[in-house]
Amino acid sequence: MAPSTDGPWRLTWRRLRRDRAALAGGLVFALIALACLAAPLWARHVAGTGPEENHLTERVVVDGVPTDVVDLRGTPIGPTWSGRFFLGADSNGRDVMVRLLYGGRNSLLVGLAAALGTIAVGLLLGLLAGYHRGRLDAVVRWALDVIWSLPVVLVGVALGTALALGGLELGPLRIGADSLAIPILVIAVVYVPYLARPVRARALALREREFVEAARAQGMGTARIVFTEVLPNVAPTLVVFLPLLVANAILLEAALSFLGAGVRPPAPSWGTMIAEGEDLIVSAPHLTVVPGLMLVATVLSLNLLGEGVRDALDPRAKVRIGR
Amino acid sequence: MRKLYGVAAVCLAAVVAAFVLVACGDEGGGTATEGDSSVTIAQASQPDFLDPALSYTVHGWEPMWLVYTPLLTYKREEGEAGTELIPGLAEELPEVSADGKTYRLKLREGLRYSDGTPVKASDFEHTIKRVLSMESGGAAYFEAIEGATEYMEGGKANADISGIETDDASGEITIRLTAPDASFSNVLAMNFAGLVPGDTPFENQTKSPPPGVGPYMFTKSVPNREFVLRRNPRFDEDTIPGVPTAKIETVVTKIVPSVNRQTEQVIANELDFMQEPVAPDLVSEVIERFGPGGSEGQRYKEFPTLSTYFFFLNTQEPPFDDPKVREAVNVGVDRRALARLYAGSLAPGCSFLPPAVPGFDEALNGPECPFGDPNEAPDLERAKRLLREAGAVGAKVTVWGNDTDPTPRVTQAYADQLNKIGFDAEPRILDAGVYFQAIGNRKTKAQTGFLNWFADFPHPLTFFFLFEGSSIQPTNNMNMSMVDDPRVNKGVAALRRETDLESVADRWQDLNRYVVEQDYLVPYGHRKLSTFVSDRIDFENCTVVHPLYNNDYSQWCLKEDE
Amino acid sequence: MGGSLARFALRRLASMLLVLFAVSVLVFVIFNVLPAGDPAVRMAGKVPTEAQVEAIRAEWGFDDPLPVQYLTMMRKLLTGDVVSYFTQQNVVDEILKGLPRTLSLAVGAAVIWMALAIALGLYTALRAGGVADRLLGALALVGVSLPVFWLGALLSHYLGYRAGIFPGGGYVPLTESPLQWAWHLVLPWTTLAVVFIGVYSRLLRADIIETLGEGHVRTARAKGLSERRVLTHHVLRNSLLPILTLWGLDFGAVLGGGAILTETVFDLQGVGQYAADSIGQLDLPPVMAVTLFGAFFIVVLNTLVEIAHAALDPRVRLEGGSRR
Repeated sequence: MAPSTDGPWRLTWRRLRRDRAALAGGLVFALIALACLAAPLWARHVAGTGPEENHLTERVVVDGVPTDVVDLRGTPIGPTWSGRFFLGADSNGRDVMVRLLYGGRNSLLVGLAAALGTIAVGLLLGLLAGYHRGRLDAVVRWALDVIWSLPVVLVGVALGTALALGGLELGPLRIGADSLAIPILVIAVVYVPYLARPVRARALALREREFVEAARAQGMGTARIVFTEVLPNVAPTLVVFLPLLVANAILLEAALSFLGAGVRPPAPSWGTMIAEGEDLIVSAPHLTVVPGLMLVATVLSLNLLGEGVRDALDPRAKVRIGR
Repeated sequence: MRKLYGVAAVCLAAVVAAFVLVACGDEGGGTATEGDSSVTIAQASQPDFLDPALSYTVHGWEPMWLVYTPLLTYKREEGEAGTELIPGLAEELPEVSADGKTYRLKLREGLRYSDGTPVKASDFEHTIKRVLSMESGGAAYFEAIEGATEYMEGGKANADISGIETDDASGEITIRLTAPDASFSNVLAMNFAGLVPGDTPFENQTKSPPPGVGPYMFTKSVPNREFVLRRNPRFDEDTIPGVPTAKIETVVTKIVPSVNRQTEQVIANELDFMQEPVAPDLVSEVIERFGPGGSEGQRYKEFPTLSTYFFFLNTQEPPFDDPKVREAVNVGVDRRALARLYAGSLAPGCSFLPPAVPGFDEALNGPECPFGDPNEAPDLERAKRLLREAGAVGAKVTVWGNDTDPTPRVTQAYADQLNKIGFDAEPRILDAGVYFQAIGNRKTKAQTGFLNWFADFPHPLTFFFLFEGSSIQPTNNMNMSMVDDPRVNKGVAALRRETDLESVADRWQDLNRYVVEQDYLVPYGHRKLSTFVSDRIDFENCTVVHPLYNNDYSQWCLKEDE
Repeated sequence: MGGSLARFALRRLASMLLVLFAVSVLVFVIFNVLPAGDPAVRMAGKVPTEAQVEAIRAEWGFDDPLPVQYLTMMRKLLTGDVVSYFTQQNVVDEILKGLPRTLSLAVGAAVIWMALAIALGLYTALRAGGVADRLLGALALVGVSLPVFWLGALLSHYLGYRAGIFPGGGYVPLTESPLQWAWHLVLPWTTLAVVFIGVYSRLLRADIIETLGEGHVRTARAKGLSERRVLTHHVLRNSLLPILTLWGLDFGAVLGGGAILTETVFDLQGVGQYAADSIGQLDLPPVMAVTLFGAFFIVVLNTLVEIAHAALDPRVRLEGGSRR
């Protein structure tokens, strides 16, 4: 008999509800995601400009004084706290708030897509290895070791740049150089071992449990067993890992973009904005501080949520995602 | 428990071993010797080459013109005086035949390179051979020599160039051109023709630059880290009249990628000079503290250069093969906006030729500019209308740029402006190391992109070479606009024969205007560069800026010196 | 020591060789197979005259079948016969020049983060639930959420440029001035350590708390051993081991390439920055070499750590895998 999956989840939810920090984290992340989704609304109705429009020679009224958006020596204005240039302008005269929200879309998209990619591949590999053991297990473990030992940022940057000029060409598969698919792919692959190992451990343990033995005795096929018995019990591991995977994927995307190998300019991303901001850190510190704070807030909220989920689901789980 | 201590001991041993490795592996930083005067300066990136035959950038020329002297050189003075030719390794200015095709010079006697090797007349031919056989960016300038094209096509490095005859015994050098070229004396004064010994290999010598005749010599070259210039002991006041010896013994150039850091270090007097323009982030502060009338005494000044910054428009690819489309671009581009991206060190303008080059037309940089005054807002409506009339609204354009600040931002601003006019433009930023190679390759079919041009010598020919049909090459092309206009070709060819620049300045002016009116390019201004030194260097008396080669290290002196 | 350890070590070493082989193939695929275009032109970099492109093609064997190309690449990399076509410098020499700087950064940061993590972990474990514990827990979480390059930029600007306390960047060789060397590294060490301190102190705390509740600790206390002895002998000994294992892995990762961001921000010109600069210039030979050596280093260190772990904890040898 398969254990009921009803009870544990409701219990988890109740425990999570009591964890205020986790709830706060989840809320903040949801707000950030919503704000980024609503970027076009802000752009059109509040700021009146798009993320790539330059306003180098315009003037804005700040505290009743008409001021250059970008002065003659190239210094942009700081936050005006009003509709236009709410968080100031960058050196091309672009609205920082608008770029922040659009950049968030890119950063979140890459982070989420990469995390989902990791889960897809990691789940598959972990289940295969844990359930089948033997040869398959050895091969998968060895493959994971290989990925694990690659210097993450270096390979990410190398791949990103190597593919920068001409894009990817592997048989029938062609991806353009500017496509977001490249950083998504790189990040997804890099985190696979971190998920596959716990999944494998879980599958390994589950394999020996009575309900699985019983199912096999009943003559159920492997695929069916995996889907109906093993998978639901591996699900908690996935749920625990998801927020942390997204958080780390977002951070890695920022690092890659910062080094010029992730999202390519002029498309905004929090990482590229920090890189651009560093050039003007003395005369316009808001350009570095703002996207960085946004990044920290997003990642922190996800980490809070992730910790809460882990505490609620499986406090003893050793969840670790490295750099 | 013992095992844990064991582990701890191993870890400790590993850490100690690591530190020993660190200590032993570190290279010593000091290059200056005790008691000598020495300055440390910085560049943001390794010069393209430290080989006189190959280097074609400001980064490379600024140090190298003090190491390698050609047969002719320039007066080492500021302003217009610095554009005057004087004899270098030759005794006198060349004797030019009546038909303008033969140049005769005689090498000074008793010259020696910095390593003691005597200078021979045949070294000149060898120097030119290196330029041609290594397919240097400057090879085009020397193709005017008879036999040069045959030499290049022959492919044998040691073959003879028929148009150059040298006699080591008498020191005489005779050069025959295929056609008269009024700028050839200037070509003879280019860095490419800086003499090197006759046994210098036909290979890039960046790792160990050859000796030369000049106030300085290279004593160390570690690419991407630093290179060192030392005063050449074999060069004294009388070696070449008009070329002073160096006052400072050692100049260490470090490669410091961050311009912000360079600026901070010069402010703090930890660095004596930065070759790059001051970081935009700090320029206001530097001007306030160290500019003219600055609160802490002047150590900073800006100076105009013989340069034009523009975007090329490929006249052989859509949509810019349509003259109306090109006109729309020139009318709609906002030149004031682009100037701001240079932190104020760009003077907006419409002229192709920069100020101080004969043929420059001051009116073009003001209200008489055919697209409207570059200091005023552009007529966007007119631009949009032109594009509509040409039927090219929504045309897809890739805008190319490199990643040397501020070029990426300028490229993005330009793309945005194109979009405002009605194009569908997208910027594409490439690394600076591969940029020219990529856009100079015809296969790339670059439509428009960033370009700047600094005068190689104070003659309009060095600019118009960019628009001559004969300059178009399949790779390493510099005529990115792919201009092959008979009027330009014939005009330039005719003016090439005129050695008296003053008398034909107005014809150059016409050509200048023509090229601009044909919208073969999108000019937007002329660059100002800067001198920013630490307070060790005597700013007032010893910072000399040459119109072509910018800061003259050999004339720097320290304040301690009398 | 015994037969089981030797067998375990042999198994891990064999696995290591296989992994190294796979990594080298992967590097080959990444740089030569995946990207579209002519690999010889890509490698030629700045001045690709036809002759040079042909020379590169011949040297690296791009016209040969893929397996032969791979062997050529491996031979060149392992014999150190790799020259960057941009700078004309031998790549291995350049890596060796940058290694002391990367080592300085990694070792210093690793020692700092480990020492502080142990101290903080112990402290918060013993005062679990208290104000300090919750505060440090929150800080640890924030530390993990910080992008390394952003933190570095802010520290460099505010503590370096503005306050003038530390240098904003740059590296001074140890042999030139140990004091300046350390002074220039304080900010980079802090930047790198902050991120790890949080993780490690929390892990240690969890482990210690778990161990404190275990049987042998209660026995030790019942026997009348002093609290200090209980701590050092029983608790730390058990909790430190897995932490040390992880520390070895992370240290390997940092040295193998993780330091790239910190090095770039502080302009330390170590191996990581060399790779980043080469990547920016699309200069492939250095990038290939650094990636390969970095990966090799990580793999070898991983294996050594696992063997050491097995030597100290016999339970690990049995499964043939690790407790990750």
